[in-house]
Amino acid sequence: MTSEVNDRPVTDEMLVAYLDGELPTAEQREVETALAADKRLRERLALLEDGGRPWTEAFDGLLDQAPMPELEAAFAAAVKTHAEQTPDELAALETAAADDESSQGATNDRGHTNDRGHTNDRSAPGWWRPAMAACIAVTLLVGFAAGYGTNEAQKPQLVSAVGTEAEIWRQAVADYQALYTRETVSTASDDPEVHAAGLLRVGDALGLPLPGAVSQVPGLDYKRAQILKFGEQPLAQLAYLYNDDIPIAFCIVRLDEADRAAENEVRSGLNVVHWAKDGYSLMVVGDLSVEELNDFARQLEGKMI
Amino acid sequence: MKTESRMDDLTDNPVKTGLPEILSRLWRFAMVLSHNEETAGDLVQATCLRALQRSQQFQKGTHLDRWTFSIMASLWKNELRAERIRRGGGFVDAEEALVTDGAEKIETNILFAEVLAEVQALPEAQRSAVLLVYVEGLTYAEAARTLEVPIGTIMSRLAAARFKLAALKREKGGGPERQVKTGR
Repeated sequence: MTSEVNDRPVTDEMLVAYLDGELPTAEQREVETALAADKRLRERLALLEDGGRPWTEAFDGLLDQAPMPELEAAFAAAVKTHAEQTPDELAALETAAADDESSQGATNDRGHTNDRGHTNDRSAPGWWRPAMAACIAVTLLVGFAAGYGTNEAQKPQLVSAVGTEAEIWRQAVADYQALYTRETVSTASDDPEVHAAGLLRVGDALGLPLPGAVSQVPGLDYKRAQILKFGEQPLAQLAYLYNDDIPIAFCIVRLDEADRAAENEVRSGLNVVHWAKDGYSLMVVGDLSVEELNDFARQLEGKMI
Repeated sequence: MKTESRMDDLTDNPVKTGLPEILSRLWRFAMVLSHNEETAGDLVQATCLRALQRSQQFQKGTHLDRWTFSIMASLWKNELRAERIRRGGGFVDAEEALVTDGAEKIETNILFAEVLAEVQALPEAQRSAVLLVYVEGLTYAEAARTLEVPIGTIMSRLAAARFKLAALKREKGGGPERQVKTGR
């Protein structure tokens, strides 16, 4: 635990552990010896001590403020959902739990089995906000997608359970786009240099250059590029405003789908145009008519080449 | 077999009988993680359900609170992933939500509210370490297991948190009193 960086034999971590009584006796003595001999170390310790607070008292105040009726209702709702789960569902959960146990230490796997266990929560009654339930649903879908490909044995089951990876991706994007408002993107910079830098950065992360032309679509006011994550894959999101009012997103992720021409669908109440090219899956989504959206998608597709 | 065990839930299931006792502490952890009362409630509900679903894995006689905290931490991680998709990376963090509902709620005691506000202003990773070790009294090793990180990470998070809080205290020329009468 000796730090080579700051050339102190006693590290800050050791000092904290010393303060917290977490050091083994031998190390505790070492620290005490070092403290006796080193004024700077004593000052360091004093600084760390100043970082102490009346933790328990302060946080007990928070306990007193817990909304107990709501929490009890939440617990009751959880009990009810649990009781209503069919033996099949429970068996599936047990399998997931067994997987979980057998993958101790593999945190990714653990996360995914957690998500799988969550499939039944969408019907949870009670005061759980619908929007939150939607978030959880997306989480589990994304979790599926993240597990997809890392565990070959799970593949067929996942596909039958939640659809293809590409469908999951489009649903996740549409769910989030549905939460966007004009204000979500309207504060983005209008500076062309910022735009160019953003596209460069996001293109780098995605592994696919994003030409500056994608920020120049007549009728769409380009706002910003962001890099997000879908499972382990970087996901590029370009945000636009239509008519200074309607947020539109152009999203790209590498899912290694076979090339296919543009198709339309509706997800989360939004129109979607989606296609695949050279291993990348692309989509344009927004609350626009199919005709307008397709027109923008065609232009964007052209600019990507 | 599962059906039978569910019929015995009320008498035999220590998770089901134990959870009501720790609801407020689960909510407190959820508040520290999420900075948001509504999200915290949701997280408690999701955690209760997951705990019930996994109740067969719980070993009677061990700490239900710690076991449930790890479930919550794990659920929160997964929720974070969804948040990231919306926000574009990084923790759902103090940068945007420094003032919490919780801190406002206990403004009756301004010193404690100040402590809460200071902790809430720490990055999420430090907040959760502080809560588990200093408030809930977990050992470093227990906190490390709960958050699924190495012990050294817990130590450096606590050190970072303390340095930050010490700086705040020295800036203010004293900061929150060490010994405070609670009036409770």
